[in-house]
Amino acid sequence: MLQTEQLDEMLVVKPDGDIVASALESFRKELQGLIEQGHVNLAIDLDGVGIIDSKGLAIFMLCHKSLTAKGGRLVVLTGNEDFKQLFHVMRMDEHFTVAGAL
Amino acid sequence: MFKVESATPRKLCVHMLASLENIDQADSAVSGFLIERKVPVDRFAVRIMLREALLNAVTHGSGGDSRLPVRLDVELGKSGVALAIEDTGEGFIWQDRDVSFDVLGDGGRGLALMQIYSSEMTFNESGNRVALRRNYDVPAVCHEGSSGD
Repeated sequence: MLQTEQLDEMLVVKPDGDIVASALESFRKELQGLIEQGHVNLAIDLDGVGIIDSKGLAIFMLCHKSLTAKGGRLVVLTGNEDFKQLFHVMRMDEHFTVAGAL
Repeated sequence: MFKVESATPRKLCVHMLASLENIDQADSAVSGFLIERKVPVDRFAVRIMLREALLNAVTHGSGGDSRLPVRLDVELGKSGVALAIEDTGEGFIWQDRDVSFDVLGDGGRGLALMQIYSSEMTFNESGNRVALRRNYDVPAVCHEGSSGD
C-alpha cells in the first residue's frame, strides 16, 4: 500500500521502493485507484525511492495526463539531484513540477 | 536462475534468465561490485544504463520469455566502467536506431536514456549485444535535447 497524506489541496503519495518494471503494476494500480477516488492533485514524494527506470517514467507521464484531463496536476517531490536531472533530461519537468517541497 | 560466474578485481560476469526480477538482482550485484571497489564513477548513471540495457534484453531481445538466457559483463577499464549485455534474440537494425522520444508518450525512452547516460554506446552487427561505457569522473549528465514530441 502507498502511504498517503493530505496537505491542503494535494494528496502526497509516498512510494516505498524503486519505481521499476518489476514493481510497476501495483504502483500503477494504486495511483489509478486514487485518481478514480477523485484525487486530482497528487504529489509523489520520492524520498523512499532509489531508482526509476523508463517504465517507471512512463507511469509518471500517464499519471500527469490523467490528472490534467480531470483539471488537476501532478507534482514530484524530491531533493535528490539525480532524480531532478533524470526528469530534466527526459524533459518531463516541462510538463509537471519537480520540486524539493510543496 | 541468476548466477555470478566470476567476480575478479576488475570484472564481473552474470548469467541470468530473462526476467524483470533478475534485472533488480543484476542492479544490486553491479552496485555492490562498484561500491566495494570504490570505483569513481557516477553510479546512478551506471544503474540507469544497466537497467535500460537489461530491460531491452528481457522485454525485446528475449520477448519476455523468462526461459531465455541473458549475459552481462562488467569491466573496470582504464577510462571507465564498461557494460556488455547480450541476449539470444535476433537483434535489431541498430544502424536505424532513433534515440529521439515522445516526451508525452507511453514508451520509447530506453534507448534515449542509454545514450544520454553513457559516454559511448555501440552494438554488435546483429544488434543483440550492446556495449556501454561510462567514463570515470564525468560530471552529471547535461540536457542533451532529444527531440520527437
